Amino acid sequence: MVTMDGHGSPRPLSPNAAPPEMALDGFLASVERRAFRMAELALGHREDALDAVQDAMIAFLGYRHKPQSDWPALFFSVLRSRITDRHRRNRVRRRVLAVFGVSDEREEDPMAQLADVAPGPAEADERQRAWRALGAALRALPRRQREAFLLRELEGLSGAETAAAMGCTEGSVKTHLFRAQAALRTLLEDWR
Amino acid sequence: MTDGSTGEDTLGARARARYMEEADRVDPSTRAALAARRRAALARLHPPAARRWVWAAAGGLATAALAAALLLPDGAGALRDASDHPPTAVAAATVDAPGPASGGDKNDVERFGPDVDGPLELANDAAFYAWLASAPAAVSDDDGTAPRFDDDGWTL
Repeated sequence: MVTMDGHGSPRPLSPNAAPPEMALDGFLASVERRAFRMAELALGHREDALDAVQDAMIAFLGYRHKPQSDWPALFFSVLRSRITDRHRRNRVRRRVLAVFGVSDEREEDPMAQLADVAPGPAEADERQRAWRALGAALRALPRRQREAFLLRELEGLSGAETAAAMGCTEGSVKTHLFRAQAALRTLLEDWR
Repeated sequence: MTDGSTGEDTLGARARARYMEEADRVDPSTRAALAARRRAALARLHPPAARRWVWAAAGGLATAALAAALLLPDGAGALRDASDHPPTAVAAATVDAPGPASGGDKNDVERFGPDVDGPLELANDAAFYAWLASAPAAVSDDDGTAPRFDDDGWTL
């Protein structure tokens, strides 16, 4: 069913001969950093991203009996769902805080505070600015467009996998993706 | 490019390259946090053995307590009998009895005598009183060195 990567990058498929737990551990270890970065782009908050990844890991355990070739698509589908849950929870939180006249301090973009392991400060600064700009632009998109871009373009799921993860048709995925790219080209002028 | 991309679109490719690069550059503290959360998630597959033993021990104790309550009616009855004694008699005697500092009272014997029933088992011990009635005769057989009890009390 699945060609996991439309971009030719290595995919974290576990060997079929491995025991289930070792395979699970290896698979989750291979996707956790990308999952964290995806959640960070979507949520804009480090702790929320970590929580979303852990929630996705826990929920994914329920699908561990599925064929291992399906695991990446399943995992990122679960992660998409958990990110959506986090968005809803944060929206409710902001509304409640607004009622009491309290501003949500977590609105600050925490990605600027992340530790950096880049070789030079100038390169690190440029890299972080680009990363922050990408996150801000993605969070400005409608949710469905953002999900299509994250899953299809960044993670490289196939059209069918993205459609299954988003619960829509491949045609809808293409529409969302086209609109997302058009909006991002406007929002990220420096990237062109 | 992907199906949804236009031919001129390099934004998607650049974004993906940045995404992969940032995934490789995750800082050590975040890596540690991710590993810890992965281990915590995988730990849910197997609850700790110690936790299983605690639940087993608690279940065993609860079963034993239930069995004891249901299958040992004599013991439970004994407990009930002990609790059926009116506590007011003992409490009243305790409250009414003067302490050593008060010097005592000749009515103390009456208070702790036949009027007091309940847990004072000696009051109902007929064998003890029968032995007590025969005690003066035994004292009369001594050689005069033993203390004697007569109408004036104990004499040496």
